[in-house]
Amino acid sequence: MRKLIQILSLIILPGSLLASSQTADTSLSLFRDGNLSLQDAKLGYSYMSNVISEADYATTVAIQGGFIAYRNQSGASTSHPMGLHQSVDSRSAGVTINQQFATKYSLGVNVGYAETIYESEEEEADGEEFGSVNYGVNASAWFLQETIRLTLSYGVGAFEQIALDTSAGTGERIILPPEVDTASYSARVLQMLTPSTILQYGAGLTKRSDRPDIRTADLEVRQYINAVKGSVQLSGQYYNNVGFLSSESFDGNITAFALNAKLNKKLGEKWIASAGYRFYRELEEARDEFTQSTQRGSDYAYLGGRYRLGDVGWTDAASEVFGQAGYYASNLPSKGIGFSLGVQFRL
Amino acid sequence: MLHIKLILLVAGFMVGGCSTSKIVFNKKRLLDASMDPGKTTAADGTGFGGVYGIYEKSAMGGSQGIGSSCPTCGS
Repeated sequence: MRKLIQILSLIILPGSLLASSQTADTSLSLFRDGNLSLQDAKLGYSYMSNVISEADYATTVAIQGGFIAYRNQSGASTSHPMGLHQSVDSRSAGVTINQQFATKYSLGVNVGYAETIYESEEEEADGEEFGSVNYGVNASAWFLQETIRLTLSYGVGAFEQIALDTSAGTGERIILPPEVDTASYSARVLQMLTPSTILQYGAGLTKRSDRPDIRTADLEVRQYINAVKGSVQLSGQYYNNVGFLSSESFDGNITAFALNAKLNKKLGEKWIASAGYRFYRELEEARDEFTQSTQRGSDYAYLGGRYRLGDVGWTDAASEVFGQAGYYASNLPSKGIGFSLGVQFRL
Repeated sequence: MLHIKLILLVAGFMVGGCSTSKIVFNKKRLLDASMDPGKTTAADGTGFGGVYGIYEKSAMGGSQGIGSSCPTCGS
């Protein structure tokens, strides 16, 4: 941790001295689940420094991270989402450096790490730290009069987990390895389709050493509606983790999708109000004839707002205060209310 | 079958986009604060992603390790 802070300092300090623009933001979120007595608190932060050495050649350094604390107050139970853990604390940090060339092209590298601490009645996990690390590169380019941007990414990573050697209900021996390796590939497109329409879509493939390949796809459309001085965002995501199941994982094959709708409306000269809804459905197939398939579903509805500080136009970057309140309900059964509050400073 | 539909859908949008390369590109409108594709809200990156991460297996499996994003959390 100390070494990482030293490395980050070496990156931040020269950047902040040379920077032509900087952005820093932080937000705090709280959620309390009424049925399962689960609570989580999350603090996130990010810092971005944009250094322009010459016109059209910018170097962007971004740092992001956060802390999250889960608390299970209903007592240890295998039916609880946290299982036998009483608390899970996680902290993470990452750095991304991006170099832009002649406005049309950019190359980036990123590195990140996370630590998770479980407090549990299980001796194997009580108070022990589990780490994860990842590295990645990405490249992007604009095409067709700067109306289409293609971004390709590649990353490798590894995370530690609680090692277990046990038997499933069928008597099958399951051996969870202490470390899992991952490799991920993705392609994303941002497309300015009309003067008031943005499309974003992408696909990804993640290879894991303990599970079948994860295939993902997503599509989003944003439409500005002049008559109401606002915009509509519709999006969907698909997740597929299906294939040969080795003895290194408990879970069955999993497929899932989410659908999202969000409205943004400008109010007066400073406010943007939002309302949104997310629908999620997930199917975990039975691993064998002795286990059952599990279907999970959830609804999340929310209201939010952003207040822009200073006298700046709608197309200019501004410092902002933002917040959101939402209601989450799933068929676990589980339902609860969450709040978020954050601030973003542009220097 | 779902894979094929998704591929066709994405391909259709790409072809549609290519045919509109002569549009009058209004970058100012697209960068309006209520449309900004780079803007995340408190719920996207920091808040309720934590809730998804403990209840939903796609959020757990897809975002293991920092730097990966939750594939089904949306924006």
